[in-house]
Amino acid sequence: MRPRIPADRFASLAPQVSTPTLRLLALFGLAGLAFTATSSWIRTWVPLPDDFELAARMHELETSADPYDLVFLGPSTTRCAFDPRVIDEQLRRRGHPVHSLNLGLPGATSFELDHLVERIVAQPPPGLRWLVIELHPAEPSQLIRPANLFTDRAVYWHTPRQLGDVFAALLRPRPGQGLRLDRMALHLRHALWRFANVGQGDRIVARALGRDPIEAPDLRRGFAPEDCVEGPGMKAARERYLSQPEQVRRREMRLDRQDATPVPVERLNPGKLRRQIESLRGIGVEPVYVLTPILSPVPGIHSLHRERILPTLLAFDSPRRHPELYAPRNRWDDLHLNEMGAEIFSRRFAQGFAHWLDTGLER
Amino acid sequence: MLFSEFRYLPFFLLVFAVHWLLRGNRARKRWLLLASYVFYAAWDPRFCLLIAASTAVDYIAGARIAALEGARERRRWLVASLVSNLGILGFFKYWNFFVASGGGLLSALGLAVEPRTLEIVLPVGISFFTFQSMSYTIDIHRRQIEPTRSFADFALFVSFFPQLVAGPIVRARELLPQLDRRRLRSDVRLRASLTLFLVGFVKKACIADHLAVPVDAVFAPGAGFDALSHWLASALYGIQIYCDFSGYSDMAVASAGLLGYRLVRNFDFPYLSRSLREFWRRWHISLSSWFRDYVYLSLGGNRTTRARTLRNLASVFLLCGLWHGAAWTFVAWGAVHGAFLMLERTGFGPWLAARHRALQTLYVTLSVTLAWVLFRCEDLPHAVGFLAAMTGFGRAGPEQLAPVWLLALAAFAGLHVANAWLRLPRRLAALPPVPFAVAFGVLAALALPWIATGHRPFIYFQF
Repeated sequence: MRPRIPADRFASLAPQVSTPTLRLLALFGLAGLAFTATSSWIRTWVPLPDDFELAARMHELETSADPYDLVFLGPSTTRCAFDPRVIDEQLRRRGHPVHSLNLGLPGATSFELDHLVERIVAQPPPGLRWLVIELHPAEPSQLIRPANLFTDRAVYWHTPRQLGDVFAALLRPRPGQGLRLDRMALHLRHALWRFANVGQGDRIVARALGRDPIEAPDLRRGFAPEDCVEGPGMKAARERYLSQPEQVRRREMRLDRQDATPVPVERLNPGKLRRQIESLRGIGVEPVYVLTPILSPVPGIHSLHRERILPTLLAFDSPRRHPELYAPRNRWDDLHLNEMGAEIFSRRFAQGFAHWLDTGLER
Repeated sequence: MLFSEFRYLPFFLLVFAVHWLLRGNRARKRWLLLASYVFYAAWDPRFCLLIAASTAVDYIAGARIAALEGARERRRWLVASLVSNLGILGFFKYWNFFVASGGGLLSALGLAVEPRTLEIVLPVGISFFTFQSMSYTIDIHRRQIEPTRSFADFALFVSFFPQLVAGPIVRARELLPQLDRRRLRSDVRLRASLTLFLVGFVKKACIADHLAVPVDAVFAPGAGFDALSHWLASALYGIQIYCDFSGYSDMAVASAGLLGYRLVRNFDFPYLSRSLREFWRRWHISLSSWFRDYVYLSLGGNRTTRARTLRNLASVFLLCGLWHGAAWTFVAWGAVHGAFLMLERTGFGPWLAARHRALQTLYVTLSVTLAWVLFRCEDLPHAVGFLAAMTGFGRAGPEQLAPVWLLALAAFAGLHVANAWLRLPRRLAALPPVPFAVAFGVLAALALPWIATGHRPFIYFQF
């Protein structure tokens, strides 16, 4: 028979929940509410990060006298591929006069882009009709590079909703990876920094005093191919790309085979996409998803399209169907096009977009 | 782990919650002891052994001193305690300094020797916990306190995490009696402690860390700033170090206060002093009173001849300088303060006392600011060059600090004076609970955007 543990053995561990304790908790709760309300009010004054003229381009989108009806949202592959001047010209010739803006943001993940969509939904830009969103292989474990930890850019998109999506992505089982609690803790800290507006005082005051004027984006309307060729990282990527033609070829072949290997859509957080689509349609904006000509497959996107979760998908991720976009002379590296490639891509995109506008069908 | 770091928040919340959930005093003290060692281990777990060893030696020495009657035996155990503590301090903090200085002296005398310095990591807070521990055995030797019978209590006294790494230096007679009695909720001055923590946090994270930017720029060896920028940077450094250290002390006192323990106040508006003598009664109070009680008075204090009093003062301040760091700049800083205090013991003191308050404050501000240059510079040649640049004799460059820092200096001075007059934190803490909760939440939300991002450890950690 097992010896009985005396009843008072753990008495010292028993919580003393009493009226003063409850009163104390209520006061802490009240302080928390006051904190939350004040922080939320202060957050309305926090400008967007200055990286890649993001604040300027969003300001332009929201306040331009000549409203933008077509906007491209995505990472660097958007920034360096969609040339609004070429696209506007091509669409005008096809009977669809539009005014477009490139909101491509190098390094952006689906979570950051989703936050920008949230912002667009919260403050709908006048005249916006189509939002072209690039789908990109975002790996949650690579969301924030060590050099960017706790920068404005890393913090600003950590809304409660995005934090939930990041947690969901991190909790999704992946071969050879554990729970990744350290990553979750890191994102939680970023969310708390955002919640408390940590370190934003200077920027808020600069904005309030008008010392942080938002410059209008340049004439290329957010298209900046130089962002994808400058810096030691980009040069190394180009060298890798040029020095391994066989590997590039193999990757191209894999890309063309990806349609043959459907991925169960439950693994891809379709709820998040549905939510995004519904919220955009709620403000009268039609989302158009796009796959740019990169050499890394975005797993499962074609499955999502086949299951009609993605209503519209303009796909340029096939070297067989778009050989010019994969020709080394038109590319910088395995992800990015060069300026010539961007022009070809912009024409192709405009053709596909016009076709979709005319027929309701993707090419 | 720093009080201003994010990880301190969950750590303290856990310690706080478990502490108050536990009923027995013994269980609470064991919990705090464990938390204190975890707190220290967060920096480097190896040095927990050092604290444990120092604790064991002083616990045994204290017990032996109390048990013995013979003066010689009692003194022998006291010496053992002092040698142990000063030995730890001397090895970890001063070995390389003395070896290098000795080597330099011999070289100057023409005896070529190669000093053998060691790759030693300076344990964080070593100067604080060794001094705290020593005060215990000295007080027992002086028959001012009885030794504690509980080793765990003594271990907690030495390692109590709020004051472990940067003070205040708490005396055994202040903390050990508090450990004897179970802390009650009535021991917690909740509003005062929360206010003090917020004030300390703002001083450290929002003021001191921001001021580090211009100060580091001007004090960087080879920086080309003009004379006015040198003056401004020295004054800003005075604010930085005050906000950094007093901010830490405020958070330490507040953390202990939330657990029901009272620690001594370490700062009392030192820049509003009327003399250097008063300054040292208001600046790092726990250290200056430690030196007063255990060194100055032991040497005879001022109840001796005038010459000896001056000698005692000089000795205390040279030691005080050396306590702050193993470098000649710190010794020189202590010497300058000692010199000013000796000056105040002459006819200058009464003359100053009869002057207008503004002149007195100007004298204190100027002398302290000039001394801070020695404290901040990398070495003596750097300090001499810096002082020369301030006075126009040295090589000053064309660069200038932005005028906004002059505004910051004026704003701090205004705030300091206004706070001394209005005692704003005390008024906040005196609010009824509900308005206090709302005000605290609002003020915390207003403060956090002003945190200087970028990791800056407390300046006093190096001591």
